[in-house]
Amino acid sequence: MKKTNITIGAVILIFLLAMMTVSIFYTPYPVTQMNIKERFSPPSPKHFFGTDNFGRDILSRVMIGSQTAFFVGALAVFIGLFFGVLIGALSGYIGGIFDEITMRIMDAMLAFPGILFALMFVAIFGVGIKNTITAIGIMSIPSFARVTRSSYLQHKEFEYVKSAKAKGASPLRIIFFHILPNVTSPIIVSSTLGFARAVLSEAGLSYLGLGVQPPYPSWGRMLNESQVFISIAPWYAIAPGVFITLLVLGFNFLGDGLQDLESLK
Amino acid sequence: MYFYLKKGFSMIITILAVTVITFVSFQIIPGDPVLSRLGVDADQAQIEALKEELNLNKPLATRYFIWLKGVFTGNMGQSFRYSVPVSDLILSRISVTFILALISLLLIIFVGVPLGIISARYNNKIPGLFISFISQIGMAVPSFWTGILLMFLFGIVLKWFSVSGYVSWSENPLLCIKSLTLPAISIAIPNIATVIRYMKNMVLDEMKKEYVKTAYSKGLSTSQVLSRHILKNAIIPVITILGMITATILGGSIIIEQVFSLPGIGRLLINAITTRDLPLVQGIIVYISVMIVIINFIIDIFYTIIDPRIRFN
Repeated sequence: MKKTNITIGAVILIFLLAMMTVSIFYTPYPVTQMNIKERFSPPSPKHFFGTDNFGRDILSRVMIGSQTAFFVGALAVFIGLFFGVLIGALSGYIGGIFDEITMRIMDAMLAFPGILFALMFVAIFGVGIKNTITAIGIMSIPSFARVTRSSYLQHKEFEYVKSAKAKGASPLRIIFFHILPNVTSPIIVSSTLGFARAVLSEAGLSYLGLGVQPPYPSWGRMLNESQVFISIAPWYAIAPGVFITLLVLGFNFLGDGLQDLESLK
Repeated sequence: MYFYLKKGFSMIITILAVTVITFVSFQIIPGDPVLSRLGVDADQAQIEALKEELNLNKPLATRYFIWLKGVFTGNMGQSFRYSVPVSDLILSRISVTFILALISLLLIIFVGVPLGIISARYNNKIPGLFISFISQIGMAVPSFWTGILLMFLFGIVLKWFSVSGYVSWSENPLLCIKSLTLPAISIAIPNIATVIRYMKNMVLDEMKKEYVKTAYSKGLSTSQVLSRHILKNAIIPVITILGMITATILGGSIIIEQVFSLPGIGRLLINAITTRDLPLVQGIIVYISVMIVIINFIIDIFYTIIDPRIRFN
């Protein structure tokens, strides 16, 4: 019973990862192949999710879109993790005024809608996949920083840290070589949930036309394009939305499951 | 009193920080703002005149204070594209976003809180598991996709709502609320899911406490214990997440206004970004941010009135 969440999450993610891997080598149709005769075909054995306004196969496009979703999500989480863990670790271990100042900044960042920051970022630096990743990455720093900090606050009082100190280990050594390996589980939980948020943010930005730009495919942008044709080709809006939801669901289930495991210990 | 002063002071600091960050961020934009407005073949006199008008000859700090004064007096310069004052544009659009946010907030509280309680009451039983499962999905569905689907189902197939046709409050309040119902539901769904989870955890935590055992030993039924004892204590912490929810509502409305073509502040922002109308972008971002800081301040104060323990902690 306790492992249901983890199982559901893993099944969904393995399925999507497999689909992404396959899409690198094979899609049922070339993604950019237009076929005006077959435009707006409803789902059929030939086109499993139907075709769009140019007669392109939606299944093939959704498959390719998974690459963008995973890529943007992974890099954004990486940026967030790198800076978040760094800030959180220093802040938790050093404490004092440094901790006070950085945490106030993190709190202020958390209080704002992430999308507002991302929009300001693209307004200043322009749209494109790089800026999308950077904006979403920066957005996720505060939550990683908070999780890391609270683990460090706990661990710095533990015996193993005190004994390392007594042996004369430098603070940096203690922070990165002694404590960090022991606090990975909350950070992993927070990364899976962060991945889910990153996928949603990318989809939202791309839906607004301010995220990932052509030629990179994006589920969010597909939804934007589908909206114009919603009354003649409603199926166009189904597949991209289902896949965004599945990916987010997979990471959320996995994160919850890992947290359950953690609390059992 | 000291507590309120401290809170008020930290609000002012936050607002100042927000304005500094917004102002400085917009100074690092690549490109020359004067040339981008006048074109490359503008003559020197024109360039100088515009530089003077935009205060570009003054140092950064002076320009910040001129701009900051503008933020509070509603004089933030002209929009590049519309050639009207930025503050007028924002004021003309704010009511849509405000009503939309309010309807969403009411939906979130009045649907989320009861469902959270039910889900805790029947924890690990069928109703509880069902609500948890639904809220897990609700958290994963992108709000703009919900919006598109709702619009298709209720606007195009069933024709219960008009697809694009915002009716303003002054025209007809009832129709106004009706035209904002689908957008508000789209914004509310993921937040309802958050509130359900939070509320459920709060109630489950309270259930473990001693006073609940006492209540049971007096012979009260589970429903009585819930409504007379647990609810009062479990609902207070929910107020703390209201600030976060307000922020997500405002963030959500930026996207949802685009889905339903609503003439709100979010749509204005997206248009301003795509047309590179930077004074307008800057103005909207600063106003939304300041609004969020003030709302959080009000929630903090409200919280201490309901639960005075916080003040002395």
